[in-house]
Amino acid sequence: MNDEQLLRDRLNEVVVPPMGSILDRAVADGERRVRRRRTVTASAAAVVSLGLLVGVPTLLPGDRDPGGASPVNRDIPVAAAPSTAPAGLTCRTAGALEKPKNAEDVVVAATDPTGRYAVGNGSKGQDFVPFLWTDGKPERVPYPEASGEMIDVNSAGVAVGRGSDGGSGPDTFFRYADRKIVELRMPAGEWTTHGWPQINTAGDVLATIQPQGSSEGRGAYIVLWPAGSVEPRKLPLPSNATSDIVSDNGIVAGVLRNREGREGYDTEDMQSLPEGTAEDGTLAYVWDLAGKGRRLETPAGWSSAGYGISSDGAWVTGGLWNDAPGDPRSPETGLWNVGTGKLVAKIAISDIGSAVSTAGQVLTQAGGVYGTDGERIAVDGDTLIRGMTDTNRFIDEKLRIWQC
Amino acid sequence: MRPERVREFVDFVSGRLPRLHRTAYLLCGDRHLAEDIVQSTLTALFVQWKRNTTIENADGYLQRILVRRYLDERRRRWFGVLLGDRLPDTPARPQAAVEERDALMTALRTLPNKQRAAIVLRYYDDLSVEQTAELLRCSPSTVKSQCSRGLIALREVLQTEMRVQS
Repeated sequence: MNDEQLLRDRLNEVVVPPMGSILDRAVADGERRVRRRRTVTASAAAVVSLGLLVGVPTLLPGDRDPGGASPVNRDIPVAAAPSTAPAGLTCRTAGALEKPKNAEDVVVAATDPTGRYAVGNGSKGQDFVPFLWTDGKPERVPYPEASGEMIDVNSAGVAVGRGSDGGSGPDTFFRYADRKIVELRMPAGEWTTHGWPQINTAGDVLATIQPQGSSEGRGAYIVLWPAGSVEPRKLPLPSNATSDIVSDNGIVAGVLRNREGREGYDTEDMQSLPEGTAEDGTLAYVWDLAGKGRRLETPAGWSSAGYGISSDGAWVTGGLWNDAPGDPRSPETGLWNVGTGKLVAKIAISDIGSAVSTAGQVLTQAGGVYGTDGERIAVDGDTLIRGMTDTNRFIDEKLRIWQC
Repeated sequence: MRPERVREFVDFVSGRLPRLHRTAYLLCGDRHLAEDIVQSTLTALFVQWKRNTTIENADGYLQRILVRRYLDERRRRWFGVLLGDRLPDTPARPQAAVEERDALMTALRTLPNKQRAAIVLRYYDDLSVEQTAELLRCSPSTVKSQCSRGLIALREVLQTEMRVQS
């Protein structure tokens, strides 16, 4: 019997302690909650009205931005004017990546902005089998341990991945270039990986690392391995920030968690959240490498997170969640203009943006592509896309290439 | 809420309650916390039930809420916030002796929260990789990765039990 089936059987055999009268309590609590919501809604409306009358500016000179380690600086370097893709793209096939031999379920994880390189992973049992494609030709990345997972690649063909020895040892990040794997060192102490790092055009790799034995980013901090270096550099970002994406011009996009750091928790937005809001709500943020931060627009009562940044640092995509009590918290996809901090598109598709092109096209985790207007770009009907370039070129789940 | 709507709610939930409770217990490994999570999940559904005459995919809604409550609850504990009127668990919980007898539960507790959630959703609730990814707000490859690592961590316990049985 294999491990998976054995585990299925055993999970069904676990002796579960008896439960109390949960259903009765839930109904009673639900009745109370419904009554309380009416009251809270009325109170919240009153607070909003008062705020409008007083007209307090959202940011005063000398205010400290909760997302940054230093006073607010609106001069984070960004592209002057983000470009947008033309509407009504039509797409045609433009070949396919060659399918690697002796690997199952090979899926592309990312492409570089030009489309010349792609990385992806097959599987062998429970382990990843990593690949790099150059001009459509695959090569197996010779990761020496049990499982190597390719994550991203830049336009020079330098890739980044995460490796595991398959045992109890911590995961590590590695760069792959010129057919050589170089492990990215961790700081002194016992650290492990957290998240999936991007690599920018120069070759900088940014990641969040966390103490071994920790999870969910507790005790984590953000480090940068500068191009060509394997030594980590701790960035002066807030202790409650997590990120693994950095643009070519040094903009870091990510998440500010509001619970651990008081600065983030006391922001104006969070104070205006309605009762029952997730107290660990997150906010999408951008910082420069010196730690100067800017909050990306998040509707009141919502949490947000930045998961992808365009190579020129002009766009960020990620997720938005309604924190209202009782809401199923299905995600929506967000697209932000970094220069203005404005939420440009909020797409209600129960999906999360994971990558964004310099033209503001968003690739979601589920494989959809959306324009800055929030409309889906039908690359080929409902074909799921796994890789996106800055040149309207896409790679689908069957390794086919599409030029739009 | 009208009595017939409450009755509909109770009918709908009753049949699903044991499975929900087991999922919650496998996720958190704590009798009281599992009850809290399930109760909170049902309360959320009740509020929605009040608002809507029909809830599209109510089973999926229940699962989403349950997982979010579990993850939210874990975070609250990490940040040292005591919510409500419950005292935090102490090492000498009354049910601890029963729980500790199950090596699998003990091993499950050592997994990071999302890894444990991925394992439970995939191998107890029989959700697909994609469904699990949606619930955990991550990519399918992340789910595969989490399950892979979780299985490796649990393998020793499972294989030991196999050897003992044979």
